[in-house]
Amino acid sequence: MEEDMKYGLGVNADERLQDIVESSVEMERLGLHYIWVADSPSLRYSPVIASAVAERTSKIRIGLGLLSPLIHRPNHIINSLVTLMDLYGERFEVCIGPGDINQLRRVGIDVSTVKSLPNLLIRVREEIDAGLRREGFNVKVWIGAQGRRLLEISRFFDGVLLNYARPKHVEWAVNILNSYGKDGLYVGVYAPSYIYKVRDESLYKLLRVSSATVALGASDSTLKRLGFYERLRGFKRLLAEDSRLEDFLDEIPDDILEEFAICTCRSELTRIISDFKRLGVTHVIFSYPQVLSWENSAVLSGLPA
Amino acid sequence: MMLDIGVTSSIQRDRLISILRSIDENVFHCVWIGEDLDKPYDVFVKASFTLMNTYLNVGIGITSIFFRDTPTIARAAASLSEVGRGRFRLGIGVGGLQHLRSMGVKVEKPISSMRETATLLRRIWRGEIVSHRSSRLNLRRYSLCCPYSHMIPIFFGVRGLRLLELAGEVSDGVILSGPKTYLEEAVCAVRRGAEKVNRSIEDICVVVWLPTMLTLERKHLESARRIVAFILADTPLSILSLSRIRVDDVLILRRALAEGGLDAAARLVDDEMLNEMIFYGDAGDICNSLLSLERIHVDEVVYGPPFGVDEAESIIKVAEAWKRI
Repeated sequence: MEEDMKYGLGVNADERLQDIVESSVEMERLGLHYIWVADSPSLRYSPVIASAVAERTSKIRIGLGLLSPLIHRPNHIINSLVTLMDLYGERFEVCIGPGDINQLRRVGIDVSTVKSLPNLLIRVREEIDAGLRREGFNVKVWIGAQGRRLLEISRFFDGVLLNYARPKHVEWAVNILNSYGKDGLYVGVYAPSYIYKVRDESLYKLLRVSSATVALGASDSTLKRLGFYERLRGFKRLLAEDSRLEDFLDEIPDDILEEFAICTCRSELTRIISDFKRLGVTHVIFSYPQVLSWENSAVLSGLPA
Repeated sequence: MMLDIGVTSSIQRDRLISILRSIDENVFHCVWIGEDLDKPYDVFVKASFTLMNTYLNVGIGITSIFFRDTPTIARAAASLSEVGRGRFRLGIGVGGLQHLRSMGVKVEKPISSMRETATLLRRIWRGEIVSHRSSRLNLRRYSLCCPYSHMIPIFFGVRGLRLLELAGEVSDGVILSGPKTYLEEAVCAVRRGAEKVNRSIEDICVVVWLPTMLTLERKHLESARRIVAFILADTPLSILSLSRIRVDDVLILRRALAEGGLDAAARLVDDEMLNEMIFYGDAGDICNSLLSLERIHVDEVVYGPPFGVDEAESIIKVAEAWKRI
């Protein structure tokens, strides 16, 4: 039987903690299924934020991640999950992946020098699984994927969160997933989002930041395939040279940024969701900055099952 | 002098809640959470839960700077400070060498690494964009996304005299543990370090955390002997040599631990070792012993574990005795 579509809100953990918690309470009240707490070296520590969300909610599932094994040892990930589940019940899931290359570079990690990243991720997934089972827990482990290399190993995970926003890009990824087939693999879309009733330019600006982070964190091969490489490589180089995104954000073309974000009014969203559903997507996570507007988060109620 | 309470990160939820409910918030000042490196619990998450379930200060005492990288400690502590609205205290140290080694964690240059960590943590919390390169770290224009208004107090949980001197130089506080006769020497080392940089011992919050057990019967001390055996096995001989405990006896105890396990080692814990390593007696005895540390400039003392035969009742009795005294 076909499962109902599950919806979630992604929080970036750089909003005020109180806002994150209150939004989570509101999302639970609206019937959303997930809060995903993002993690990166410059954000708040996601397991602590997850505990603050869990303390004030009772049903909503809480995802940790994406957690990068390049900064979190497998036993750290296991320890966080075991502690959270011991304190708040078995409503946690985790997503692992390499992480944002530009953020990792800030803490001295050069992803391009990591040998056989896919094998590392598979090994870490197995370690997490074994560690949690030892403690009597069974947790869904997702992989965050965008390029072909990671999509190909998605079958070793319970689900894959795709860092795409457009149905045509999701379709490309789903075709790869299907060619490596695994029954019951959950497919989620996790994208910077701004679903609005009335568009607010300050939120749109934040969407650009979030979308640019995804675009400039994409691998060269992904950008080449999408046809954006030539127009973005200069900006990628600036980040690699330690410039900060805000120094040149305004120069990144809007049309590219919109490819990496779900930015639409509520009525149009239903059509996008039905496209996702047709492609086999089971989860849609509306990531930052959707969380920032209560009014705009309320538009997420009553989405199609 | 303030009275604190101590637990470890592996404490189960119901037990932690029971302890938090037993605490008289007018008597106790801080809940310290020690990190059990060999148990699958996240000390930061436990601290978050504790902050949300008490009005007291909550401190981590301690987490190893070699177990997690500095940015992770920085952002976890900043998150906790926000959860606790400024009530969080961060204890850092080298950590249990045996546990770290068993996890494949390398410990190199502890003194310069502790100094480096404390300095970087403060720069990161101030909202600076930090570039820094050393054998352990390579930060390139790194900063936290959100500013933090509270400067989080950094406590050093260290034992060696040189590290204690460093604590006097750079920390906001120090958590001391070890034989009672060593504590005085330890405070002197902190004072020396403080004076080197024109600070005074009064500028540093000195906390003592030793096992404490409320008991009226000698038979209950058997569990305390096991704890003492375990601690003695991990206490550096250089520290023991500054106390009344005979180093040769500890070496014999360690051999017994290796060959016959904890029970065999516990049988070798004599009264001298017990008296040096643990506070015990009735509630009045314990409070008087703890208060006696005031003469060596101790500002806070930590009660627990093992607390007593009945944890919750012991905590209540000690709080009542503390109020009386």
